[in-house]
Amino acid sequence: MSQKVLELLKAQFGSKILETSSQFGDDTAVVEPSAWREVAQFLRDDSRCAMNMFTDITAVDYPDRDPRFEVVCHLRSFDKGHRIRMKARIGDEYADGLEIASLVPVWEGANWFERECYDMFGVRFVGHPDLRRILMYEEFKGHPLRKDYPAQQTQPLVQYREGVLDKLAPFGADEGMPFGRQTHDISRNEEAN
Amino acid sequence: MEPLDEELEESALELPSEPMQLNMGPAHPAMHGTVRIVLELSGETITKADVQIGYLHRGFEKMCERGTWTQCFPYVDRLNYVSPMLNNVGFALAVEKMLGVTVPERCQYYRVALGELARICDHLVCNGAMAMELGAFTPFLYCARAREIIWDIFEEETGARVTHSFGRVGGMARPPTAMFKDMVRSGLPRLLFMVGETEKLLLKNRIFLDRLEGVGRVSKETAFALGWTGPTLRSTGAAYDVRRAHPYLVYDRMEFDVPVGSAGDNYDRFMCRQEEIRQSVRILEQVLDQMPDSGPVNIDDPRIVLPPKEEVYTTIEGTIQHFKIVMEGVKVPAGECYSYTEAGNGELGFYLVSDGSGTPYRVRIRPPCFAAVAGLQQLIEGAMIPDVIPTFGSMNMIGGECDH
Amino acid sequence: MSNPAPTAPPKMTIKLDGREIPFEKGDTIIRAAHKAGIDIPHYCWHPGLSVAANCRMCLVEVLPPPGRPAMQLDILRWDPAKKEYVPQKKPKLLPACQQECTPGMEILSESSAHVDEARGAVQELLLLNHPVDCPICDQAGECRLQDYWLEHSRKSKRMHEEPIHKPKGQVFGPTIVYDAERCIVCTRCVRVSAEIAKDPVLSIRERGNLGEVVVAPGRELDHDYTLMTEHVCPVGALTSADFRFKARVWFLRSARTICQGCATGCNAFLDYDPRNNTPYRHRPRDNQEVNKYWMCDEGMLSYKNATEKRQTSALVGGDDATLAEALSAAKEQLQGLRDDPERVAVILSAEHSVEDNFAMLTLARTYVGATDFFVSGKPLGRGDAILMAEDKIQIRAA
Ligand code: SF4
Ligand code: FES
Repeated sequence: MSQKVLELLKAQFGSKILETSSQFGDDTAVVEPSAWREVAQFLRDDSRCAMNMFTDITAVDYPDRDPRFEVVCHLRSFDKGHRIRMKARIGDEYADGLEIASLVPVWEGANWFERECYDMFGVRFVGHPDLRRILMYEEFKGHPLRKDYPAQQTQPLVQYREGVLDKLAPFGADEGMPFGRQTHDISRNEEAN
Repeated sequence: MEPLDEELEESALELPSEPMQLNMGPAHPAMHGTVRIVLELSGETITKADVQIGYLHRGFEKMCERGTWTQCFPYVDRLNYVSPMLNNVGFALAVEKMLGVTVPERCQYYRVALGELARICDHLVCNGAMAMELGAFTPFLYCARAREIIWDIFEEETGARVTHSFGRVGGMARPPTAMFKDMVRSGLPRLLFMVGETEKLLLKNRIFLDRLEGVGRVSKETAFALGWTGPTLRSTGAAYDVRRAHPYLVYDRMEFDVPVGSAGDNYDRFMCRQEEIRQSVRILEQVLDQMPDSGPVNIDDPRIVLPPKEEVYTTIEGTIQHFKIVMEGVKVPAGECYSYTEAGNGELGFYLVSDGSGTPYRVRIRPPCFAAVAGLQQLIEGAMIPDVIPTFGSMNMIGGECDH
Repeated sequence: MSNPAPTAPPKMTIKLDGREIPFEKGDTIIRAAHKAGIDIPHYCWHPGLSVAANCRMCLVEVLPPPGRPAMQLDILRWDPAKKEYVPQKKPKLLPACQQECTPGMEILSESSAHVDEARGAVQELLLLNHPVDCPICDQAGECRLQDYWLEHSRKSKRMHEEPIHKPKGQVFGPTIVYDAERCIVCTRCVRVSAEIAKDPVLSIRERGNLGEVVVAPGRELDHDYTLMTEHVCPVGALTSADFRFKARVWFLRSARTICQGCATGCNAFLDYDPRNNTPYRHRPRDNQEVNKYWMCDEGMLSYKNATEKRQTSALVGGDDATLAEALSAAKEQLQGLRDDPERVAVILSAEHSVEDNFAMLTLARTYVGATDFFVSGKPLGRGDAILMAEDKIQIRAA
């Protein structure tokens, strides 16, 4: 069914579609990272694709591969009922260059999914309006779903926070009622990683 | 005392009016689930909101990378702990998709039956809790009572009331009990009666209606872009139900309607769920009629399914089979697959990557309510504080699933 | 790697399941496949031992040369429709471990239904009298019977009579315990003793399902390579007294190592449990240049040196100390010796690795300024013409 979409993508983007495959009934296109958003936009807007249902964004860590990470996005079209998986491979073995365009401008639902992906893998989504941790807390060091993060690792208990909360962005540093007292000014160590 | 007649500038009389920040949660009695919503208020109106989740994050995906495929079942149970059976079935189907096997017919019916029971549970809890948070405690108790009927059935079938860990790759942990059909048959009318009573209490209640109708409206397009599925999406009028759009198990043989709303507000979400309970009951009745009373439940492949216990203890072949599956796990062919089912909150997706061994390389869950809660912020911005409660309630955030 | 022949002989190949693989003169089918990285299931064959061809697990179908009829056997096959046995023919299968390759030979292994059936049948027969021992057997997890049952048989038990019982837990010698019920009489252990250790103490008594391994009367299994008999045993019949009931193999991880026992430097795996960081055994690692497939008993047990009789924590003046304390104490004592290097002598140990000694040497020369160095060693020990060197200092192998 979505074979057709793969054909369309290949015709439209040529060499920017690095490879396509179909396994277990799922159709996958591996996309040149630089064309990530462009392809997404096309998938949403082209009437033959009409991928208006954003489904999922996540990543997979393959420490032995180069590029090391795969960012995986699943999409579905409501009208056509077809699905596609789109992937991009980024980042070297030290997780440098782990950057890809954010899809929030295309589907606003990508917001939280990309935040989670950033939280768990450290993938930086360029152009994301509010890229901060979502499941882990701000003081957490590292990205737990990377394969080199030991599953049994523990992290120190976070001290009771005295007021200041970067996590409260987009609000700024103050919590509670700001009038009258100008509260705390504890500068935070820059975020983990 | 200042003389009253002193000339004052008009502005000096005004109270300093800075926006006020309010922290709802993470343990707010009117919000089920540990979630924290930071609100910036101007009076009672919300000017900015930030929904913060993660309080129930237990590293589900990381844990799954450590055991065998089968050992994931207790974990998926604890994702959506309101309808764990749907997760069990969803995960089993995902692994079976990679293995390229289909469970026997009897098992398919059984899975549908248990799944629909779990779905009813899910909707009952969601709607009951939402009503309770709006002050209507009795309907909640009615719903809890109705859920009790289902939990009793589950207890009889699986031995556990909440977290059953009942799914297996290639079948179920046990075949249906002899009383299964009778229990469901006798339970359903009582359940429907209680559902009716609940509605009678709520749907003519002005307070309840006023807080639902027109509150938390979403358009179809926005819902799509937000990745909404399930009742939240259907309330906007988009009839997308995985059971209908991509039928799995025996859903293609079932007759049922996909209820949709029109306004995409809290009321529609409430009513969609109520109606889906009725549709589930309809499906259940058909399942009971069609489900064979005998026949295998598990597929016949010693590489996937555990042998009967007597054989394990008495024959070397059984012991070997047991050892291989328990110690090394079911070997799933290398590759990746995305499998999706209709869970209580919508499309529950599992994106699995296997390296061909008995241990998952990556298990990604696509939790339906994660997308729903992600959309909460824009629904409540511009609304009033009391609107947060029903709107949040109708998203049906299940902490375990949302925070995995 | 064998030496390249002076003139490259014409490349001879066989076809295994449609895949061309090369072979050298004298190779058996299984050896040619083994070199090409293809595993034909086998119990009794071992690349380092002579061929016994008694387990029949390696049966393959060899296609007749073009234009010649296949060798066929008359059999009776159960016909479920007619509910009776009907006469049929099936090709005669050959053991891959014994059949030599000839150029152009075509062989079916995985792709032949007959082979598949035969393997299932062999497996079923081998398990007929096998005790339900997996939960108490050290081999579980690395047992060929388990692997091959799942790969090739997958049938449950059809014989429900009481199995034959044979002696269990027989002590063969100081290192080996034998369980006759688990034995599949593949004679690998017999051949290791005779061919590798050159001490034929083991042999087989009786035949069929009564067969079992026995030690020569008046003897114990006590040559220097007894643990190799355990190592080659494809099932859990021979167990090492040292490893017995100590660990479950699926919890162990393997690290590649070199045995520290003598100057031969056998290549080995060290199996350890990552949960408590404890080594449990050595396993020989194939290296044709050094130890082929084998190791001596002393070396096999030398893994204990990593933890036993060894200083594993720091001491200062004979008292327990943390690493940091010990380091600062050492620093204090060694300070100022530069001006007077005669006051210090450094002893390097022959039991350390080359790298450790080099690091020590560099430290002593630069920081301490020492000029006197001594190397401790070990006296010569027992050696043999097989693997054991008299020189017990491992680094000389390097
Ligand atoms: S003890 Fe092991 S190696 Fe020796 S004959 Fe029996 S099965 Fe073979
Ligand atoms: S391996 Fe035993 S007969 Fe060939």
